[in-house]
Amino acid sequence: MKVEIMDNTKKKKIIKELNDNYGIKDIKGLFIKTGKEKIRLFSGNISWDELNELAKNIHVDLVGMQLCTIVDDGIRINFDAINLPVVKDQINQNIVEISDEQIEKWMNGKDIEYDEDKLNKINKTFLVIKQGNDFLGIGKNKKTYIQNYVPKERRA
Amino acid sequence: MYEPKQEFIERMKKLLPNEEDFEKYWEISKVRPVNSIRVNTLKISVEELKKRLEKKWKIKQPFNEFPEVFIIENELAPGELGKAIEHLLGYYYVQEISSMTSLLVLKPQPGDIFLDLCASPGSKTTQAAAMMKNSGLVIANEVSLGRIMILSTNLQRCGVTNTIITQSDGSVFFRKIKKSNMKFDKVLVDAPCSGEGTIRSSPKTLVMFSEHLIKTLSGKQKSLARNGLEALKIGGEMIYSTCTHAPEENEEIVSYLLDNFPVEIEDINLPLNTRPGIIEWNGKKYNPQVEKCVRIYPQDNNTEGFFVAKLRKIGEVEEREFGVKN
Repeated sequence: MKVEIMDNTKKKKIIKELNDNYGIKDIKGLFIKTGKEKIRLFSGNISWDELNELAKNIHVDLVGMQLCTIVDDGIRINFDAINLPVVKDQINQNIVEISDEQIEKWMNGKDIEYDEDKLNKINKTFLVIKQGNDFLGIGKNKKTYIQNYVPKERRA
Repeated sequence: MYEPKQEFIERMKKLLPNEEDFEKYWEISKVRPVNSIRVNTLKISVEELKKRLEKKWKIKQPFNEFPEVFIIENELAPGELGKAIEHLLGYYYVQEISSMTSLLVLKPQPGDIFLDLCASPGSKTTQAAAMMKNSGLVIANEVSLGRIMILSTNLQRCGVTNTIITQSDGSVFFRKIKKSNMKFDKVLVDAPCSGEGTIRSSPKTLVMFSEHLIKTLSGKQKSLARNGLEALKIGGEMIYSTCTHAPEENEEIVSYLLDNFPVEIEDINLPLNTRPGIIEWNGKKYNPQVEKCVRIYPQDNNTEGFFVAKLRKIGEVEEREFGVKN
């Protein structure tokens, strides 16, 4: 798999996408692109040269955690990253609040119906699903309903 | 409860010669351990999670100095802790109290360079990352690819960003990373073991018990401990821990380190009832300093069984042939 440490210019592009979609202005740490679309966040104190040297001598399996996925129609924040304070505290756009009754359905991986007027007013593809103080991942705005993106291993 | 093998009972009676003490041990071994969790402070504060969970469960915080440790006092349905939304969101980690002790003793700090030599499933790696506030660097090493999947899932769920997962047999780890000139402030060798301390949650361990397995593991554990020690900086601290009571896997390993390497053993203070390490077993005399090790028996704190030793490296380990004779 192709692994690329993103330089400042490339990182800024990702941050701009995150800003446009969710209001995120900055995330400290290295952005590492794995494959075509997945971005990992790494906050460890090691230089790129040191990491390369380490990888020459021992099999490095993973670095940091998955932060987001770039897709054709936008950028999707990972379910596990969205409640990290460095991410959560900055999110202020495209948030839709679901009801207590909808939580179970959502956390079971099911799509949910939502107020069509409200969905049509949002011109972004991905929505942050909120319930109380929690962000329950990202959903896709299908204008008449919200498509579920809760990963299988996080479903109730 | 599975029927224990006679050798197991005999060994435990030798470790617990007082009849009443042994009876208490055996009685509590038949009961499932209490439900304990550790707040993942990378995602939520202790106070906030406590407030939330108190709406559905009765929470007890057994240690003033470690408020992140919670005991759930209710009877829970099977899988209830794992299916709770707070768990799915990574706000807590289900972890037995005795298993938390290795890191409560080692206390990794923000900025430390920390190695977890046998890291899967990740309970202690996630605990270290939380104590280090996702700063410094954690190397989480694991030999098995299948277990790396479990490790990475847990690190992901808990929002751990300061960690590199490496795949290597821990007993050759140092030989591999030597050229990288990487040395660690703190090392955890939580060694694979015969698991005698876990029979409350995993009674099947009684079926797997064999003295041959203990002997085999003991040789492997010496290699792991030596690798952990070699990877440490001079002045750095290492925890050697297991979830077994077998002295061959515990004091024998620590004694081997004390007798062969520039290392000193440190006192351990835990807010639990503990017993000192034993200095003789089956005619074998160990370095008397192993008394500073800590044995945790289930009947002393209503936990599972555990063993912890804390060591400090005081000089460079001499180059020599790798491999350990039993």
